[in-house]
Amino acid sequence: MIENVCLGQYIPGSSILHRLDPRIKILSFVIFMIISFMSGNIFSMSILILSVAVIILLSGVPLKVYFQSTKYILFLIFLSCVFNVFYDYGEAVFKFWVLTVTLESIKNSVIIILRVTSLMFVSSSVMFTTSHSNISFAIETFMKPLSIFKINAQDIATMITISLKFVPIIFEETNKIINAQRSRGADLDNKNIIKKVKSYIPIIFPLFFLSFKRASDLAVAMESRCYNNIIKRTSIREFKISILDISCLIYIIVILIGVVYCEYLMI
Amino acid sequence: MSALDIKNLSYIYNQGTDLEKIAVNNVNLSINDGEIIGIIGHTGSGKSTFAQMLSGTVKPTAGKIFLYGKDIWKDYKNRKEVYFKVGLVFQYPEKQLFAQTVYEDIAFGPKNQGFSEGETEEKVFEALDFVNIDKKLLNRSPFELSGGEKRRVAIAGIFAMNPGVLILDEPTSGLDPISREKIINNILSYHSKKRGAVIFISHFMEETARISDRVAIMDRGKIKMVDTPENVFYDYKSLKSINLDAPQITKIVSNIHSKGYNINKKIVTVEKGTQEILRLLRE
Repeated sequence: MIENVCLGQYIPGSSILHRLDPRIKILSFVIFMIISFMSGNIFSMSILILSVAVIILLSGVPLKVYFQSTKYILFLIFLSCVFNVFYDYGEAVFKFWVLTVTLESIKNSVIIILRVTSLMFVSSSVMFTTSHSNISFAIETFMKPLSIFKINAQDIATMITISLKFVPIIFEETNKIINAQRSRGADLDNKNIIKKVKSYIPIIFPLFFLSFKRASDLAVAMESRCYNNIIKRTSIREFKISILDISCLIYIIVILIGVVYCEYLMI
Repeated sequence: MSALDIKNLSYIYNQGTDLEKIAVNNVNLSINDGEIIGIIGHTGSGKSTFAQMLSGTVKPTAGKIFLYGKDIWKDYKNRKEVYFKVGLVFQYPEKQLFAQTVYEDIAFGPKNQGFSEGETEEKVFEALDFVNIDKKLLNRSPFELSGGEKRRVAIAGIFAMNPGVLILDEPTSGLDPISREKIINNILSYHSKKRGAVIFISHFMEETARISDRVAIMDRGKIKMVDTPENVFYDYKSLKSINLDAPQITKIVSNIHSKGYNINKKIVTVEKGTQEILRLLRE
């Protein structure tokens, strides 16, 4: 399935990232989000890019797959940044008709592209290396404090796991239905936007129907196996924080300190 | 002239990666106009990928497919021409039902072919005749029908397009024996009127033996053997090595034969088997 890796798919493996505790991975990702939005100058940006490179290397997933699974989003980001370049403020570098390009706008665009791309790649690396059940375990752990608001962390974690599991299945199903309707002559490549939307009805409709049917089948199957939220469930895996996990946290905190230094303390 | 000429056809999933998997491996086959060819093979032998390549929905990694002598990836400028000439009934075709009424769903294909309302109606009614569906059901939602009826409506959607080559990918899987029998009869009634080539993919040996003029065995992406059902099935012990089986009746006559009786081993249908056993009893 490598050629159709979709966003958020798990790729089995045994790399260092695969072996990390899911809670640590998600915690580190949250810290990483802060880091990427803090970094704004050339020094902190180079730390950011370097740390992303290390993470990708440790994930054991080829860089090509990262680009492939995020290509559409990257394209959108790139497009919006291209528009951003023409946003007129600061010192003009050159003027063309009504368009003015300034040094600041170029700088800002580059920063945004780098920030969002590194965020996308790091979040992908977490998704690529963490199985869905482990993600739901981590979410459950982090949501436990919410139980004082009568929110059942386990239920939400289960829902998230199931939704994540359905993504590749629905992806595959869509491809099948598209092929089936295409072979019946469905006009999916029409340039006219209204006709194009209309021509997707034979695909959207069965897809909705099948998704609802699958969801209700699953609900019945879970119920008939006495799934409920009254009893307390235990996990088959006991996660223990290992040296690897601690070194991961240290790694991310060192980057954080480095970026903070570059941004606020360095003159 | 043969309807389909398949030359060195291959399909490789994830080519160039660690997950590379050869689904179809250098297949050569010629399918004549007017014949029903059965393709049997266990799960994962590449049957479905093969079918999708023949219909033009999946592009082969290597090799060529000639439809009535024309290369489908070169001589046809418009993909639709190929789709309209080769009708593919996908696995679980009832999943593609979408319209509000049975009529609209069956009419989807002919309408896309550019037929007028009147012509479309004619084709829908003809297709309904082939699949033996009551005209009262035409205004019902396809989602209200039973599993077998849904399958037959979906198949009628392809019949209505009147393709020269009809491919059916496991049209009877997951159905009860009566519904399976009905679908087999639907295919036979379509074929007896329209002729054209029919490619029937299945892992039910009984029905494949019953309707096919020739049977091709597919194993790990390769065509192992193409011959008449009798010649393919009588040596059922070697079929077992590739996870396939022969019809019950073939095994019965084969066992009687191995006990030293003078009986024809090459029998695949219950009718012929009964005659042969009765003949033996009379002697």
